Amino acid sequence: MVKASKGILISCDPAVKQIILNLNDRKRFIIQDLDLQHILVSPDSVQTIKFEVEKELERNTFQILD
Amino acid sequence: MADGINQDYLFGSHDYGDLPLKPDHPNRPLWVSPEDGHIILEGFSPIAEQAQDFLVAISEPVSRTSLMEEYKITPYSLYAAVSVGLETDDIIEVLNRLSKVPVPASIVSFIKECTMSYGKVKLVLKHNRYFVESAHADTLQMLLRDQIIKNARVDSNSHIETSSAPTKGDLVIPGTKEAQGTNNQSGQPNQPNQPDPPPENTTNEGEQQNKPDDKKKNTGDEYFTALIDIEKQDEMEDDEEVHSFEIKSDEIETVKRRCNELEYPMLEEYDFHNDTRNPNLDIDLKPVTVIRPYQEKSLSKMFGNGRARSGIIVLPCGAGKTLVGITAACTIKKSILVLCTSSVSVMQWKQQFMQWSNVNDSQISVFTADQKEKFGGDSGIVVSTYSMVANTRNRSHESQKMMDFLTSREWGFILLDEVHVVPAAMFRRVVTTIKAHSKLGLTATLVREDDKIDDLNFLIGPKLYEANWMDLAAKGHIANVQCAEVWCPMVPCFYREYLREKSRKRMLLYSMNPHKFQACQFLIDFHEDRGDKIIVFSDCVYSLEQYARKLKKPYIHGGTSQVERMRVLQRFQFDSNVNTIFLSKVGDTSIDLPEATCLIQISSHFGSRRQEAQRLGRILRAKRRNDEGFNAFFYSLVSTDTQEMFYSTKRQGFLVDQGYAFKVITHLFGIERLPELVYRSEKEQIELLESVLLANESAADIGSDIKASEDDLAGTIHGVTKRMTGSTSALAGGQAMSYIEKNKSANKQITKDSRHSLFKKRDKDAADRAKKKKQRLAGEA
Repeated sequence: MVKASKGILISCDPAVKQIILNLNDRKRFIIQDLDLQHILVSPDSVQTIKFEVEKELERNTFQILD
Repeated sequence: MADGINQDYLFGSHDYGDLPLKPDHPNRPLWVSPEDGHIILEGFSPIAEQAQDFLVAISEPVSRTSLMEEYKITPYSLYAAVSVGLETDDIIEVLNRLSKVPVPASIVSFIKECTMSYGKVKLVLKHNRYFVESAHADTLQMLLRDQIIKNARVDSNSHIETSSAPTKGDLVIPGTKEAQGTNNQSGQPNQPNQPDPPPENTTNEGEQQNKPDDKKKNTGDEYFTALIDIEKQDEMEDDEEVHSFEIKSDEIETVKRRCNELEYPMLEEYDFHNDTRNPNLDIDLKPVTVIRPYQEKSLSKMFGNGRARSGIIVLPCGAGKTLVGITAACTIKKSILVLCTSSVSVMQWKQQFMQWSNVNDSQISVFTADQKEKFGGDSGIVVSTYSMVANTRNRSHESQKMMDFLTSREWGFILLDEVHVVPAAMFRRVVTTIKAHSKLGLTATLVREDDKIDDLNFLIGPKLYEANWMDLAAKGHIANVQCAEVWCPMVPCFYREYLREKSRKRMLLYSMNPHKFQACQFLIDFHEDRGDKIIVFSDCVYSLEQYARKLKKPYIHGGTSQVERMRVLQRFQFDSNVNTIFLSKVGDTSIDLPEATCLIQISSHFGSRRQEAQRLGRILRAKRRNDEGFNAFFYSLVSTDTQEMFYSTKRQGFLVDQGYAFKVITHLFGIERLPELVYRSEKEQIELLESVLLANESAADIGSDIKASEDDLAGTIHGVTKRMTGSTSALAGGQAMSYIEKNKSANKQITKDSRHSLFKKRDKDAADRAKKKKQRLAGEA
């Protein structure tokens, strides 16, 4: 029997994909890991992913204090 | 931009759009910000150079790029300005002349407040007696009303003495053009008694730009000469007479402290010409030694009125700081104490003294853990390290004797090398135990990651001079450098592990990133083809070794033996087949390689701006810097999306402020086509990852590789002892039992073929002889 589930395709660079994979260890949301730059996730997790990825990348940016 | 939202975004609270502009503002080169004392200078203005001279004297450079420069007025900078003889009104007057906007009242009052008390009082040692000296009689009267100071006065009934102000007089700094008899050519703004510069003022501004710096100062358009004249005249009028009273020599400490409490900190000047108690040291620069214009300028700030002022001179690495120190020593000609950070630089200082000056071997002595000498005669030079002198723990009998010798006598001059690295407490100890009349601090990077810089101002003195890096590069004193940051994307499997790791091992992962490996290989290949000599820096010894072995290049780190080091360095200097070496932290400062023209940095000490500047310093003195169109290259390899990005930006801060631009290279063109590119396949990458993960965590320790000797300064070099936890099976080798194929160290190759086998017999004989000699000596003892 065919099972269908709704998902959102994320395309990103390889590094960001690794961050997302890492997030998945905490709370599973990945439906299918497609290739180096593409990944299919459940629709309700998109906001969280965006937020977390942003947070992770922001940590590596040096801000000059005003 | 007209709409309010954008403006807010751009300027925030720094929107000074409502400040009134002077009608002739296009002719004036700078802006003064009313709140924080920042000054923005237009570097393209025709009178920018003169404005720079002025600003460097009264404020601290924050950032100097090619077209815009930023300065900041601080209490310390004003203190320094006063100490080189500028008056409150002059500062405000000139600033107002140069500024596009009227100098804000807040800044005026700030300047007044700071210059009111600073530097008005000087402590001068003249004819072996201590005088408190000031150009303002009322200030002295005020001080004398204070009970403590009154008690310290030698003859409390006499009047305040008045004498004429000191001028530069016949003092000639050796090595300058004056010393060579071409007196009328050099025009230093600090010499009131110099004849007026030749009337070249008629040249127009366009021509002026292209002239060498010496003449530029002399010409200047009329506007500016008028401006400088005011400065000079005032200086002369005010300084014509000074007032002084004598104090008891054993009360100096008390008086100094009291003056600080009264907020009239004393400047210390040393009238070495008239000091007859301390014997002269017969030392001069060798006739062939000529110092460069900026070195002369920095020294003229120090000896501006014929006396030696204490302070700090800031010059970039490779711009000849040592020579400035030696020239100062040759000007003062008294006993000299030189303090540096490690025993290696002790030997370098001694060697430099021998090279540039006519000092005898017997006059210069060394005080380190291994060597304790005293100089012959009643005056001489002692070179030592901070920790030897500031040590408070138990000393050996010999070094205690040596210390007694150091503290028992008066020193004319104390030279402090690399002042930025020394902890303030240590400084205080040095300064209080050693009786020195004048102090000169030398450094390349007056930045610290902590805020201890301010302490230096009061322990040593104000910053006397700071060179402009870009300016020196343009004039060919230091090499032109192209800086680039190469972005190496993390290989997915490495990045996965990186995200999982929480510890220091992260650092190993980003420095061992295969893409970085490839970029390194590509750059080495590219620059070797161009004929460059390349140094690759890595703080992490593990990756240093891995890289060097994989790419078959010689390397040096803390564990490399002295013999092997010398051999590798010599090969690098003279052998056209060895064009690349890998250096760990040991190469940051003490190794001098003028052959190097290209630097690649694969891992570094987190966000240290000082290290970045010091590493750049390795190529600033490149031998070939005066070749037509020559550029040195400085690459920083950075793994993207890791902490390294953060550190890299932070590290560049200092150099960017000096006007260096970092290009970002996201892709090295042609890297895929490089034959024998390492770690091309995923399989190899995973193998590398495995070996990195197996590596002990301590491998990620940076700086664990330099052995500290007894007298090296803590902090410049880290200890070798470390503690780690592990299982017994790991110690027995049970955990990582796998077959590993390693590339041989290229060092071995160099060691092996450095001597032809024909000499085997000779070598063996020599070894035998040495052995016998040793035995004989042992027998005698």
